[in-house]
Amino acid sequence: MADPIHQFEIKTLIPLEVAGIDIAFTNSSLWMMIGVVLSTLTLSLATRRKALVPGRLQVISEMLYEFVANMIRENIGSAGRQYFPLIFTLFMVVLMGNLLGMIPYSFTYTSHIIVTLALAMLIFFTVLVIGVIRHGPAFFSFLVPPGVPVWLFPLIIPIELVSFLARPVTLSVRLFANMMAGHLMLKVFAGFSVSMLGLGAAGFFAGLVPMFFNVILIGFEFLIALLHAYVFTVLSCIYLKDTVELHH
Amino acid sequence: MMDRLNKLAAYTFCAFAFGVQAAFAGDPHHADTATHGAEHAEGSAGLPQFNPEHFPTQIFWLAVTFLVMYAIFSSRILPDISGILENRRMHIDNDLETADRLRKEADDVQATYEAQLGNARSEAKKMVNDIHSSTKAKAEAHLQSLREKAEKDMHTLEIRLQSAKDEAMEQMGTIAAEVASEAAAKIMGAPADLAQAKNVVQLISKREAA
Repeated sequence: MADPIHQFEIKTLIPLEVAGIDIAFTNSSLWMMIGVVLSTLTLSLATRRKALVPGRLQVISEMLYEFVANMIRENIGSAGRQYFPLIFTLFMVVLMGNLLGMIPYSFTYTSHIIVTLALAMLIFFTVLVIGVIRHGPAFFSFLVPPGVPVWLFPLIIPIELVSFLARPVTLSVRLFANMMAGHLMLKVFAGFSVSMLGLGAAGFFAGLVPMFFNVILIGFEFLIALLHAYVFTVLSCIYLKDTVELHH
Repeated sequence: MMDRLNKLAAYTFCAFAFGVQAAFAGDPHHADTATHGAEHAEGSAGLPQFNPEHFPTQIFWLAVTFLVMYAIFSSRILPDISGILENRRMHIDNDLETADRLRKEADDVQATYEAQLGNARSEAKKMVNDIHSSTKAKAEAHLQSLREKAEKDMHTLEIRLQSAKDEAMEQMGTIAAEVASEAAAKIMGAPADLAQAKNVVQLISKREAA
């Protein structure tokens, strides 16, 4: 049976080292690049004609735009417009990673914890830095929910602090674990089929069963890919809301 | 403000990315060389995701791709799409406004048309009434004059009839006087006085009239 973990391995394509840091161009970097080129090229082609009555591609780009704009409006409010390029890029990066990963023999860069953690840290530090710049020390009043009696402070403040610090962890682990588990499952089921094929005619028909499951799982995995791009972005929006208004 | 914040976010990300890299550059390469052998000795038991060897390259290329995407999206694609949407919204608003204006104009035209139609109708009614009443008045005047003339004619005729009657009566008196005088002459054999006979007849007719 093929090693289901093999798909997550990083292979160096072009070795590169700057100031003692290994920044080789890998298969992961390649798929990030493909994501960039695909998303920017498609969207610029889609918006090239600036048609009043949009074509198919333009409709897709407008839907993406409206989708992210609505997400920001609902979760941050009108003040969230300033984060629009940030949220949109975040959404596209995650979406591209998840969807490109569905191509056989591709590499799913969102199935790597360091990638999702970096994106979650970006949001975490954006919230922290902008929040402190905007509100000063008052930003940390989120540690004390309104209406809590003073004697509860020693209990509440550590809890709130832990939940605040846990945000990037939960955010990144959720995406990483979902992507990794899904791809592992696909590979394991495919591996069943392949190994049953080696058992002769009966194995061929028995091997159709996991294949059938895999067909369903692939559809399911597409749902997961879209859903978790959405979840990641929505949670980022909710966290960014703290920079706009305190005490929600 | 918005621009500054966006730039700030991008810089934060860059700083974070390179900071982490520096941290890993210090950490995993040292720690790695120590643990590397041990890990490889265990074989491919661990997930590749938890191999810190690749963390710097992953973060570096993620940062690069993220920034490239951010730059392209924020400078070109997003303003383009928002321009398209804004343009469409304005177009639709404009069209709606024009439609509203045209409808109002049509309503105005309809109102004027109806007012004019009403005017014309009432004018026509007035004219018909006028003609009717003037004709009636004329006819009445005509009838009146006709009646007056007829009455006058009747009156003159009556006067003439009366005078004719009077004349006839007078001649009857004369004839009676003559017949009486002639009868008297025949009876008496002597001519009677005609003037006296007339007086007698007049006296008798007067007595009868009385």
